[in-house]
Amino acid sequence: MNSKKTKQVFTGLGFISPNICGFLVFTLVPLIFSMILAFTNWDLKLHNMFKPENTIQFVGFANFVRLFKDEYFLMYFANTLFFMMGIPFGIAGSLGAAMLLNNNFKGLNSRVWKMLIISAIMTASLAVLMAMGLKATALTILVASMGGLMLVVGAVGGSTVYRTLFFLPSFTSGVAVFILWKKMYSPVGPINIALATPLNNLSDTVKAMNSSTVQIGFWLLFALMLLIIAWCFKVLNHKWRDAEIDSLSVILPTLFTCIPAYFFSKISPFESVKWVPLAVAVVLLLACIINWIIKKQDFDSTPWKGHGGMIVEALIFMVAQFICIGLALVIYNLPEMATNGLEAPQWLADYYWAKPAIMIMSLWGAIGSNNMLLYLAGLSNVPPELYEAADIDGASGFQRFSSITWPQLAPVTFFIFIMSVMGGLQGGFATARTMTGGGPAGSTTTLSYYIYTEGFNTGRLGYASAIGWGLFALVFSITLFNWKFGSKYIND
Amino acid sequence: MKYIFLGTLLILVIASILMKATQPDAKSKVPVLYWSTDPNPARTIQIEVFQEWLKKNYSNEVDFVMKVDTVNSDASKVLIQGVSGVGSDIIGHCGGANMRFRQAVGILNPITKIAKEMGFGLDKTFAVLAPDLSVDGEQYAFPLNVTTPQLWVNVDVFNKYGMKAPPSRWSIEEFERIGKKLVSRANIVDGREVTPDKRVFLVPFLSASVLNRSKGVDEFNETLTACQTDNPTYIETLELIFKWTEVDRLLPNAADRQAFSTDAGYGGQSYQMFYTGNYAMLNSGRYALIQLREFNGGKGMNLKVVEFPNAGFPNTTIGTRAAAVYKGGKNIDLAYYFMQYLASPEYNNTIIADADALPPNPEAMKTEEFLRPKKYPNEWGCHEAFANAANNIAIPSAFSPFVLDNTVNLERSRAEGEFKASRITAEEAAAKLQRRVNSEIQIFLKENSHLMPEYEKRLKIQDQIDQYKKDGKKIPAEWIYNPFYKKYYKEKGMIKE
Repeated sequence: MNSKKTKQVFTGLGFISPNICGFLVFTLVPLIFSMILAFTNWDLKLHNMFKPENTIQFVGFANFVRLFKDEYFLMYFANTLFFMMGIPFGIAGSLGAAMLLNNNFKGLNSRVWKMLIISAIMTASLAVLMAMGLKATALTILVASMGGLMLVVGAVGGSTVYRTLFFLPSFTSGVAVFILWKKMYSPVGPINIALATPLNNLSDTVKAMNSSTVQIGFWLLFALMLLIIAWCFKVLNHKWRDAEIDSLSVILPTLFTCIPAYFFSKISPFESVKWVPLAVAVVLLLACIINWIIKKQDFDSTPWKGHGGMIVEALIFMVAQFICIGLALVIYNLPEMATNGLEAPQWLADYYWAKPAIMIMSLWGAIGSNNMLLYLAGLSNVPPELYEAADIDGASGFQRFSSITWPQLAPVTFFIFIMSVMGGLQGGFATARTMTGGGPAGSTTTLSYYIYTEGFNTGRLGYASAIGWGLFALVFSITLFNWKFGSKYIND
Repeated sequence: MKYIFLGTLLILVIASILMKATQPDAKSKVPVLYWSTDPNPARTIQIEVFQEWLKKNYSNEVDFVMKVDTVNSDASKVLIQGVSGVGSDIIGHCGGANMRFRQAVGILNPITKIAKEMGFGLDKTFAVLAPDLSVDGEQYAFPLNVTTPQLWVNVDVFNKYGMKAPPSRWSIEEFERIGKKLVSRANIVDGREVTPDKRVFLVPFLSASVLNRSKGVDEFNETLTACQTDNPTYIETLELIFKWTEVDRLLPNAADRQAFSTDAGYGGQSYQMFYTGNYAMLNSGRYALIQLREFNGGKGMNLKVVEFPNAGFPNTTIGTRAAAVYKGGKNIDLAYYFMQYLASPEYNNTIIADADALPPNPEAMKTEEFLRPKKYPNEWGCHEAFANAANNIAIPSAFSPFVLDNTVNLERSRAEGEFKASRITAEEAAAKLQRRVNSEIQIFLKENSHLMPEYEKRLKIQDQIDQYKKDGKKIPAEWIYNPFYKKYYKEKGMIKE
């Protein structure tokens, strides 16, 4: 190596050395150290500089065995998974935002006029609501004014303004955002004030109606759930027949379709129909199997073909079924709930609402996140000639999206999904620490917050490290699963 | 680019040197000691008086500066800094549970011998505080102040709704009756319920432990070898507090607290709510006056102090915010002077003047300055009520040597939290707490095997106590380790001295 090259190498090393040093000191060494710790009984109460007589002992896999016996670990793991159910909604939201922001808003074209009209309607509606008795707190007025201002400024400034505004949650300090949302979720905050009038009206309407009339809604949603199950098997059958999926690729989607049906059997308010969704699913599955035995596929397929794509579709069907079940139960209980008047949720103070409240906040953050930027970049890479060809063929907006945009964005979606899952498994610390303290009754405690409390509140560093590495094992195995089937989904 | 890079590096190095050079330790010619404590405004005056006291008593012998460190008093920070060798020289604790946890970790310096020599031994403060200040006969701390929580009454709130302030001593039934009357008068206006932010509650919260003790039951047994919450009394108390919170609305629930937008000031939200009348009463120690004196333009409030409601055995807890010497401190010898100052009349006088709870020395509560401060005639009678409670009905918390109290607190909050969220019944919560704490006792014994002989000895004693109780015999006093049962059995004539 000549002296010039040596100088260049040292200059380069000089530039990256602060980062490398930081990585070594604050990441790599603690990482290795925590791995060793996970196999020891290090407890700060027993082993520290003031207790030289106690030695840290190697305990093998004892900490990991304890994990599976620890009722709180399992509970907080379930909480973490529950929060992750918001990931698909976050991805959909950021994609929607990216597609909206991919348009050009500048200039007084028809779209801008529409937006200005919407702003005017919004402002007028707010004025009417306030005149009719909407209790306006300073925060309500602030939020509504900000909304109107955004629309007007965006109409004038174009998509750059909107892109900046949508990206706001990402560059705003997390703690400030959490405190703001905590105020928003207050029983006298703008959300509950806004909900009060519609809930009162709904309550009066429900009271005025016959309870059996209200319950028609339950049966309609029940029927819709059965239709979704049937639709899922129809898709499965068609895809199998057209050799878009292999026989092995049917297993997991079938399982996902049956989970809500089984869940319904546990919580159905009507004993007589509680097994119907599961029975319908089983009958349809049997019918499909018989059909597949009698008939052959139209083309040859390879093992596990179409697995990734079918899993995604089955997950969508599963979420749709759960939404039906949830809404059906709400409608079923509505007459009883309306007896004393419907009240807005207690959000962060309620065991059952605290998780959804945080998920709604996370959804807000996810829509304008880095994911949106990735989608924006992805959208700019979609060849315009594909859309031109689709226009010539007379494709509708939905067909353009489903046949061009969505498949073209598959690699971006896959990347976002992987990163979101990894982030989701490790997330929840800041919200728990700032907004809820992990409560009520541990409902918002995630694994990352549990690691902190075990490590620094009780001093059990060995066990806390084991939880950390248990979490890593989960992240790693789920990522492996994603790579295996997700990459197939992209290639499909 | 490399010049920008090097320039940035240089700026950072210079900034680091400047920061180090401007730190109090670097600037001072004499040693600087730190006292990690709560952000109480009274601490500033206490430090000022300390510097004067030091000058007056030891001007020719020692010279050092004491500084208050309020940003490192968080329990996690004290633990991590302590075991890392960089803890504050004086560590402030709130309650015996924290002291015991830190003693178990090993970061507190034992002070029995030096305390006797310098005059801040256990004999210089309330005798009942021994469990909060010592472990296994070894002293580790000395009180900064002493707390006996009682109920402060905002008399104007009761007057506003046409009611008299509650009596000084009252039963659980009276508490419920008066509370229901107050909230129904205050919260229903023209037949409609007021908005959540205008709601009036009787009191922010009530201690289940004090109510249980008033019924003759404690969380731990007589020998502190087992948790015994799975009993009808504990279950009944849990259900009663839940009823008062969710049905009768005498106490606010979590959502109610969130509805109040204020959260400022020393001690948090409760004081503000008490002043505005959202809470008719406030459970707190005498130290509430630090904040209450600030209200009403400094004129003070119309106040009264009453006991917690009881079911036959009036009681309250007694605890202390104490100071301890950090074992890894560089100036341990100097830190002892601060401990000595805590037992001095000068320090006791600052506590009396600032109303920072009760003074460490019980004798100081007999003075006229304490009982009837000239500047605050509206408080006359209140100080006496706290002194009487400390001398007559206060009982310290029961700390089992076989499990750390912060572990018990964690398990209690988990079990009671699940009950409050209606996830489990009161029976299940009581059983869960008992099961979890007793299993933690076994873990603790496994980790601290030297405690096993003592534990087994006490188990045998417990069997004998149970048999004596069954037979209706008087129990020898030396068998009882739980301070509550010691006092309760004595008053009920069940003890053989």
